[in-house]
Amino acid sequence: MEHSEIVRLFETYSDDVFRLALSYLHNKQDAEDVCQSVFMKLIDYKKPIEKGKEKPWLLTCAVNASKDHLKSFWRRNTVELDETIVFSCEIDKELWEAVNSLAPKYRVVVHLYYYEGYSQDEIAAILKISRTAVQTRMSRARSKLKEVLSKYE
Amino acid sequence: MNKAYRRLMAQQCLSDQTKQDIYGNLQMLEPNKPRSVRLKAAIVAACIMLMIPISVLAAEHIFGIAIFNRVEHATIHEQPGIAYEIRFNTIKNRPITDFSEHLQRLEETTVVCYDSWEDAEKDLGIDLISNSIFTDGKTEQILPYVSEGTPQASHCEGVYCVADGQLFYSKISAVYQRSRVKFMVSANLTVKHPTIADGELRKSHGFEYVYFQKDDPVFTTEQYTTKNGIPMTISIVNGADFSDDQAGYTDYNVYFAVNDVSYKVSIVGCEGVWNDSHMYTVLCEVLEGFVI
Repeated sequence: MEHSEIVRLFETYSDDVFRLALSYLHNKQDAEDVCQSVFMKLIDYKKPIEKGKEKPWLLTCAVNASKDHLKSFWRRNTVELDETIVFSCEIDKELWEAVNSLAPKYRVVVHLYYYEGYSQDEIAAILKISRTAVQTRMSRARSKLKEVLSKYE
Repeated sequence: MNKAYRRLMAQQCLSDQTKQDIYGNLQMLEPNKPRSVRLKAAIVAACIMLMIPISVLAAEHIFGIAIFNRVEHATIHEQPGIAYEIRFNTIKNRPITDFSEHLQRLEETTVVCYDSWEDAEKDLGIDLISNSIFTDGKTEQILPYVSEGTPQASHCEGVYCVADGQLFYSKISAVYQRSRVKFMVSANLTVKHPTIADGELRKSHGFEYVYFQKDDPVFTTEQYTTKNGIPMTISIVNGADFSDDQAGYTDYNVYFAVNDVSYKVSIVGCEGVWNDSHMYTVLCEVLEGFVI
């Protein structure tokens, strides 16, 4: 891949990769580390990426890198609220904490569906799971978030 | 939820400092010169790609199960993987009236927790296969591994998938342990649906696995018929290597179908030392316990 193309992809999608990693890890510093590693992987990737599929490719990498990061995360003894997350109002903070209460695999489905706007089939392709698994995870996430969701109906 | 979540996440951006750092790294690093593709991998990939049409035509049809080998080079994957797709060709989609009334009325995809396989069967309204080893005193129901934050695990779980206001797929699964070996038994049923074509529903029977391997795993199948006369297909993947715990060990999955329900038995773990021979022995004990 041309270097200029890599730079273009970074300028276009770095925030999206960051947000997905943040939805997974709920920690800004970790999400930034993941973002860095994703674009370093892009440099090393030998095969051309199909036009129009660059973003899903990057998001899939971000998911995998986040999972790897999470494995090392579990070795830490304490979890602290990341004070650098920006909340414009108290409800946003409650929503953040409600989403944070979900397991990472549910959070990422919520993010890909509600923020990125992907369909269930597209989410299944990015996460390399079945459509049924996506439906199951969405169902469980919605059940868990039901109390918070009711505030926005 | 949609707007609130979008607003919340739109405010979160990569810091300027980090952007500068990454951008600086991108500028400093010269892109890797194209490496010559490893000859062996290229030849293998080329041969497999050529073989795909042949393997589709010559797909194994054994007791209604067709097994395809396929090589994935999809660009969304970080590296090439190998996917095996298992399809049940002879399973019919059941009429919705086979299911219990409350499942007929389901309006959205639902997950239900049960205490046992038998409880799930009652709730489903359809007779499922039973297994004598469940009650021989040597097999215990266990809770599946769940990650932190996941709703409470249950001994048996029913997933009921709904589209356009009607159930189209259900899966009942339970995890057990016997002689240190953990295995999952699942029953899959598809339902005739007013808006989903029969062929599309049948596709949902497919079990697709993708392994990311350093070396190509070896995929074989074994035909097995129990003493009770149930024909089964065992898929055996040597060197599955899809987790650190299982590195180098064999992945066993068994497929069979009875009365338009497709079943799968998978070895999902082993306490203590992983041993292929022991896992296979226990697997056969489990298979022999199934009673129609």
